[in-house]
Amino acid sequence: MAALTVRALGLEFRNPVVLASGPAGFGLELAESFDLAKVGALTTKTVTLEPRSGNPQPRLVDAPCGVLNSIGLQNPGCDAFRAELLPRIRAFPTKRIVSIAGRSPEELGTLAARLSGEPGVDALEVNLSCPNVRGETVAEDPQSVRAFVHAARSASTVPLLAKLPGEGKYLDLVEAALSAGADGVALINALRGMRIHTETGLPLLDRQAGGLCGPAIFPIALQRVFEARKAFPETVIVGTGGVSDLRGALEMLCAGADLIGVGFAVMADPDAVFRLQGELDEWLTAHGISNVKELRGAAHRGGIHVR
Amino acid sequence: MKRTSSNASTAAHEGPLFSASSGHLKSRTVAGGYARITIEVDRLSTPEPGQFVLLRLREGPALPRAFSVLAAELGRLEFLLKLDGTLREALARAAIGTEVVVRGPYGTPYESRIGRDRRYVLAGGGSGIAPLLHFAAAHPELTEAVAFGVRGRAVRDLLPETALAVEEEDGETATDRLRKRWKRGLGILACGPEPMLRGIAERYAGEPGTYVSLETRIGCGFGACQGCSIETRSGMLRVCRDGPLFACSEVPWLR
Repeated sequence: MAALTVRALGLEFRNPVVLASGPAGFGLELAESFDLAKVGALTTKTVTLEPRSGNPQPRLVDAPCGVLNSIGLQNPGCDAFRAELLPRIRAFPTKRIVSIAGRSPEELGTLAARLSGEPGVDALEVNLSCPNVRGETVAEDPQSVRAFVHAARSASTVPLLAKLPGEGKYLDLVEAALSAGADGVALINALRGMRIHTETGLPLLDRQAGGLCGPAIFPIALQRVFEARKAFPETVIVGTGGVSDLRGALEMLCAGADLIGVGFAVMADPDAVFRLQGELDEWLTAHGISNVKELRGAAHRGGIHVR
Repeated sequence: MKRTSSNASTAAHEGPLFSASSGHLKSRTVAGGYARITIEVDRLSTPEPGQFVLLRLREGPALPRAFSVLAAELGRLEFLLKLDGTLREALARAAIGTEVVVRGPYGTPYESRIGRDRRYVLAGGGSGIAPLLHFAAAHPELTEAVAFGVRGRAVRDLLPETALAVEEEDGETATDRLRKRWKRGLGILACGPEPMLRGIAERYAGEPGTYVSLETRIGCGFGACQGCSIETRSGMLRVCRDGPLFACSEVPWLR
């Protein structure tokens, strides 16, 4: 048995597998059939101050090796989340990271204040990079990232993650989030992509672009995590993007992730996600590695077993 | 048509079963742009009429796709597929014996969504006739008549047990047939292409007992990801879990 526990953000995660925000919803349906103690944490769907009904159909469009999603932050809003969902989420035998988004720093601050300190909220993740809400992709410049993260930081006492895109000058955005008080970053969000209906010549998604997720984006996410680890050796990184199996999880750790976010795979093959911790344990044991943290950032220091 | 063995479906109502099972393509007949396929699969509870399963080929699209079931018995599922999608075309080409990953069954069975106080005319178009044939076989006591819109004779050859009337021979669409068979007091279960459903909604949405079985691109299948959510009079509902059957009056946008 290898040690899988990860200490990060001042919390102890039972293993490095984190259900990323989105496909897992609020975990309630997964909890009916899976043992949530088999993952290190659940990240909820993004909660906003007011309820949101999200985008019209179609919300999912197939893409080679993945899918374009355009859900549009559908959620019941902060009050209903606190009253109806949080009491059930609180009972889950895993860490709970609550994803939040706001249209302005003020709104985000209000939301963070309402959720911070609620039992069952182990950490907050500020979603600064949803590709599916028009005019609200705030993470395109470091100044607004700083303003949003600062607002959430000032209003909350729990550990804070910033969910950032893997596009543009993403390292500047990581720098901005950390300097504004984020305790770590989740890299990367879905990448913007599109598809066109060949009979009509029109975009398949109502908002033209959607968020590309799944194995298609894995090598991109891996490289962004690698670069972020190189630039920020100490910060907590939740490496997210197209991880769907043991090999992807191992690569993500070697690139420098502390924790591994899994999104698309929860939709496509939830069994595989809940098998990951066992497979990771077996692999480490077979390779004579006693603690998963020995893999973290191995690609930056001459590989596995070399220190 | 084979009877669905309802008793054999041990776990169908005990909450969703997530585990994917490895099945195999057992047989296939292709005609008129459609394919009828049989998949043998162990360790899967038997779908009730209206439920669906998610199918994936190892070399196919990354996200599994939802298919309603034509007939089901323990360890064996039959499907009627219209061959117009990547996975469906892959299933039409795959060698017999090819592995198919099956997950489910998901969705609320038609029977638990509708009133048992009336009998229904089953209005179907294209591959939408599959779950209705499944329903008719399992629930003759609730089935008054069928009104299927199937264009060509070739499709009837795929379903020799049904004596399907086809448009190519008598010129009648599903809506024409429904008009002849429906009378006040009967319900309607409709499944088919959206224009057909819109036509039915326009005429019968106000009638009690009119239901439509809807299709969207389903993601997780079990109600978490919201990929299939649609607007209804009761707010956003999930086709995969709250549906796929909805009271026609619940989905006003259909008209």
